[in-house]
Amino acid sequence: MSGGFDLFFDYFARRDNRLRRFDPRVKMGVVAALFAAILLSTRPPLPAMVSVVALGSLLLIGIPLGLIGRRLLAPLGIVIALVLIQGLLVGETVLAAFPVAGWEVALHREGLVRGAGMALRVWGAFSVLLLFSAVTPAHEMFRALRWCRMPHLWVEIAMLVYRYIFVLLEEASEMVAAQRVRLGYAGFGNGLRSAGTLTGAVVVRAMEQSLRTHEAMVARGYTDVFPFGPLPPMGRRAWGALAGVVAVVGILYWFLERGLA
Amino acid sequence: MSAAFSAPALACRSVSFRYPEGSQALVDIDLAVAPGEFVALLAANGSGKTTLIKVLAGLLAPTAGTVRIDGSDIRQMPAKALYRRVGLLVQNPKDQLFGATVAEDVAFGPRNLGLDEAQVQERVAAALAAVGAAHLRERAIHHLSFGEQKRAALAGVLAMQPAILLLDEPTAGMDPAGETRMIDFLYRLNREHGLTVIFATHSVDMLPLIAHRICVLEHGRVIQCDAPRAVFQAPDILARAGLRLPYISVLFDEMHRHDGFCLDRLPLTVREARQALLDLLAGPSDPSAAAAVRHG
Repeated sequence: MSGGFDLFFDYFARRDNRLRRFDPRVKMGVVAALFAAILLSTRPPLPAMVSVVALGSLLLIGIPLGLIGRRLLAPLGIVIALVLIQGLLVGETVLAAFPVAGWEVALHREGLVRGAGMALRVWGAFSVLLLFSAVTPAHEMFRALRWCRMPHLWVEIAMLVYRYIFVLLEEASEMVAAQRVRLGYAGFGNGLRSAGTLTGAVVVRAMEQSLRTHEAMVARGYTDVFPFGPLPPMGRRAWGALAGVVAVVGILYWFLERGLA
Repeated sequence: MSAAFSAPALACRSVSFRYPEGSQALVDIDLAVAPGEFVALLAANGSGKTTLIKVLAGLLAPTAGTVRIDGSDIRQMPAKALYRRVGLLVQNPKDQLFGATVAEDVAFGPRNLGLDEAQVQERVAAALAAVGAAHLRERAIHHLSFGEQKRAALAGVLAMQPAILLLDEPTAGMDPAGETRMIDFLYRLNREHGLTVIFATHSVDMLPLIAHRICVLEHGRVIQCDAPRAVFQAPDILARAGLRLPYISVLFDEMHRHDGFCLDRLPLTVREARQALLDLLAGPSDPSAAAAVRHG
C-alpha cells in the first residue's frame, strides 16, 4: 500500500519492546494521568517535557522518523490554527501588521504566547497518544476500555470501525491506483474529479461492506450484541506500576507547576 | 440423491427468490441434500449460486418455497438453533473477519452460542489447528495474506461446529497450492468427519475428486443434478450453462472427436486419464484390435 496509506498501519504496535509488555490498563491509566496533568498545566515545561519524552521514546523503540513526522501533521494543523487565531484575536501589543483584502490584520504578542501555550498542550497530549498507540495493539486497547467500564456498544463500534478502516483503506488504495494508471490525477482538475469520485465510491463500498459483514455476523449467531471474552484481573505488579507512574506524574506536575513558580 | 444417503439434512422445495429491484435470481429450486453428502452448486457467474447459498443459510427469505433443515422450516427456527447446524463461509474473507485478532474473530461464533470461556478457547484452538492457522492466533486480520484470511474465516465457521457447511466459492482467488489444501481439507471434513457440504463454484476441475453430486444452475434454475460422471457426460448442458468439462476430460474429448480414440467413458481426473492412457498404450495383444481401440 502506498500514497500515505501506510500512515495508519499499526504493525509497530505489535513489535516487542519494554513498553509493549506493560499491561494495557496500566498504560491507559498513565495516559489518563498525563492528559489530566497536561490539561491542568498553566506553564510550558510540563507539556514540553512530556512531548520530548514521548517522541524520544517513539524513536527509541524504532518508529521511523518519517512516519512520526507524517503522523504529527494532523496536530500540526491544529497547533498552527490555534496560534494564529489567538495571535490575531487576543492581545494589544502588536508584533506585526499587514493588510489583507483592505483590512488591517495584526498579530499580537499576548495572543501568540497564549496560543503557543495551548498549542504546546495539544502537542504534548497528541505525543502521548501517539506513543500509546505505538506500543499498544488495538485489541488490547479495546480490552482496557472494557475494563474501564466503557459502554459495550461503544467498544463494539470502535472495534468494527478499527477493522474496517483497514478494509476501506485497502479499497481506497486500490481505487487510487486504478485512477492513477488511467491518469486520474494528471492535472489539478482531474485530481479533484478523481478524488470526488473516490470519496463517493468509498462511501458506497462502506455501505455494501457493512451489509455483507452484518450477514456474515448473523450467520455466526450475532444477535445485535457483540460477545466479548472475559477480562483477566489486573495483578498486584500492574497496580503497583500504575500507582508508581501516576505518582511520578503527580510529583512532576507539582514540581513543574508549583515548584518552579 | 445417492442411494447411500438417508433423509435430507437440508431440503429446499420450489424455492424462488426475486431481488427487490425485480431481478429473478432463483426459480423453482428443488434440492435435497443428505447428511454427509458433498454437493457442488456449479454455475457460471450471475447464475444465482451466491443467492441460493444465502437462501439456504437463512440470510435471504425466499419469495416462494421453503427451506428445511432436518425437517424444520428455517424461518421458524431461532437463529441460535439454525447457526448451530449451518455454517457459512462467504466468498470474500474480508466480509467475514471483523475481530481485532484472529483468535477473537474465531471466538465470535462460540461466544454467541453462549458457551463458557474454557469451551470457547478449546474450540478456537481446535478450529485454528484444523485449518493450520494456530500460528496466526494473535495476528491482526489486516496483517494476514489472502490465503491466511480464508483459513481464518473457515476456522471461524468451524468453531461453531456446524453439521452443514455452506461454502461460497471457497477457493476463489487462491493460489494452486492453497486451492489444493482447501479442497483436501474440505474433502477430509466431509469424508472423515461426516460434515454435509454444499459448495458453490464455477471451477470444474476439482469437482470430480470431491463431490458426490453436482447441481448445474443456469439463470437461477437447476438444469441438472447428478453424480459428477453423469454431469460431465453431457458437455452440451454444461456449455449451455456457460461451463465446460474438466481440462483433462476436454483433452480426451478432443482426442475422441478428432483422432478417433475410443473410450468407454471420459476420464474426469488425472488419475483416470493416466489409467486410460496406460490402457491404450498397453493395448490388446491382437494388433488389429489395438488399431480398433485407437480409431474407434
